[in-house]
Amino acid sequence: MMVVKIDKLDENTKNETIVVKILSLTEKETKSEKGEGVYHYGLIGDETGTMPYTAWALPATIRQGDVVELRNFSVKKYNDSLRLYLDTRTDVILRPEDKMDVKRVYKEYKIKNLTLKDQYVTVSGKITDVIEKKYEKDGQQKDVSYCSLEDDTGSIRLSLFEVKIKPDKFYKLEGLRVSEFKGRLRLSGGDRTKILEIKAFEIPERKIFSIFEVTGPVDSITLTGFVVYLGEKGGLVRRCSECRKSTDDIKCPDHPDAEMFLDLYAYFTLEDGTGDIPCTAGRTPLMDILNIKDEDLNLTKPKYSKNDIITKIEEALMPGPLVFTGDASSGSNGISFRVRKIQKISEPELRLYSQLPGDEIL
Amino acid sequence: MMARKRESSKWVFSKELKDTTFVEEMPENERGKPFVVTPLGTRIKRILIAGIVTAKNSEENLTKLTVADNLGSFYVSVFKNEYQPGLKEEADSLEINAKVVIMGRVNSFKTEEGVLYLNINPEKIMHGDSLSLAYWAARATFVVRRKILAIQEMKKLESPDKQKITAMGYSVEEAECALRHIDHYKTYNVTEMLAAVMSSSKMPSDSQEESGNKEKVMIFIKTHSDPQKGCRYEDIIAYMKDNGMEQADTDELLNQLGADGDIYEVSLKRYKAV
Ligand SMILES: [Zn+2]
Repeated sequence: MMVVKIDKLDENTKNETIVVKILSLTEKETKSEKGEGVYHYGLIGDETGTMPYTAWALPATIRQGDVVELRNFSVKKYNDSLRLYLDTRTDVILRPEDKMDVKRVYKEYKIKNLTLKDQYVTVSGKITDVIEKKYEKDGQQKDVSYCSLEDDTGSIRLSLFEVKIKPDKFYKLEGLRVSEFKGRLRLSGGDRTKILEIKAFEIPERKIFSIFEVTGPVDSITLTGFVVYLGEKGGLVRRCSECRKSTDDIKCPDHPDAEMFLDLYAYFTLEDGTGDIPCTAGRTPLMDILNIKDEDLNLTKPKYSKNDIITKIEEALMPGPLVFTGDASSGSNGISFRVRKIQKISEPELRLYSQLPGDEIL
Repeated sequence: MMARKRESSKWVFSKELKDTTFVEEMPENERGKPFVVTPLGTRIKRILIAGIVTAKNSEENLTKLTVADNLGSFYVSVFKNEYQPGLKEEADSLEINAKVVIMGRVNSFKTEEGVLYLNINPEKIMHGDSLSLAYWAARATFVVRRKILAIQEMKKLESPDKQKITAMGYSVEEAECALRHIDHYKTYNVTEMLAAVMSSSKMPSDSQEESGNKEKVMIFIKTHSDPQKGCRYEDIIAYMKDNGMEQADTDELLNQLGADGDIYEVSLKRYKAV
């Protein structure tokens, strides 16, 4: 029997037979005028590579991890990549005796373009802030490194299991897994991740985005704009040192014995002409831009009243223009931005903000 | 309940608003103000402008402001409003030549002759400075340039196709703007708009060099003109590009020559010397 391999498939493929492993299998329900139905999609692979598939019909016995022989399938381009289609005419023959080593090919991504839609990826960047820890699994000591991975479009948190990596070096990491935690994306890798040290490339100090470009979570980016709305509940707040909740009461209702402290907080809407984004800023960036010191926030002898702080925040932020560096995360109300640093815009950098890619920088 | 998405404000130059002739129908059972659609397809309810106060007229219940950007004027009407009593006071306190950043709602009014007037009812009036005005102009320029590029790409297609435009890297909104431009302002000259925007945001250039380039364009048009059809815009651009001049700068020169009465447009994108 002649079988074709995945790397030889294209839109002209007809009347071929292929043997593949079902790498993932997801069921999806559809509702239309014709009624309800079910189809399946996922990833298949063989020794030459992988390919996404859609199965309009699939025998109910097929499971993830099975090796199957397919006849009478079709290949079409969808979303700019080739996809294999199975329908009622396709023969799906289970081959329980077969083993297959699949060659994994992971698409290469810039950090800002990572999404949960493609969960196994290749990313290149600089490793920083490495923290090494040990943990127990099945009675054995294992190593894990927590760090940041940064490229020219953003940064992301990365956990590496049983893999050693050096800070401030550049690596290409093939086969990382993308997941989401509290609205922010993170990457993880293990002994199956291929790690190559690569030549350093340039990472700009500020990764400047227009607001319309922020379509998903990404860390360490810079936005600019006018603050057009300032939340009324921000400013100087009393916080419980135990649960860190803010309250107007003298003591925390849940922790009456806990110490209280004064804190700064602001939430606001930022616009840059291309859209708007809700932002929050905490103690560190606000103290910096308002020129307030720790001792000014003494609970018993505060230097400023609540109203003083509101006025100071208004004067410092509205309208701007200002430069905000921080992390975009996604939540139930869409994308929001947690500000870590606020700076003033300088005259010479203004020209950056009217530039399009390809403009000559004079 | 889903939180309703805030209608973000559009940053457009006064020229884009001034050239606006289309107002959407108000959907039935909906209150408020309808969207206006500008020549670049921008669908506006809320606007943010930055400029210099050039005129002020205060009456008891209404203060009118004229606010100028680099390309013309916005007309701002601030009514006495019980919900925001400080707003009219803020407007009244503004002096002529004050720099302001204003966010507000666009209000449209059509005369019996069918002439459309647009003014802005502020929700927020903020004191600006030269930096905020320059930043606003830079961003408004960025937005206009991208929109015009998206429109030009859309016009190159055999039939308008939103997805083909977003696949090129434009946002959904930019693609939709291009569609609205084609629906409502097909004959509007976006190149002229671009030239006006670019010349307003450019630093004053060496005037000698400019007059030299003007002469080059004039000579080229005179010597490369079809007696009936005139000289092709593309040819002028290509020629000036060989002389080290970018398209936007040549557009600006053509614009100036037209305004000075040295050349005129025979038909779309065809020029003749006077
Ligand atoms: Zn507490």
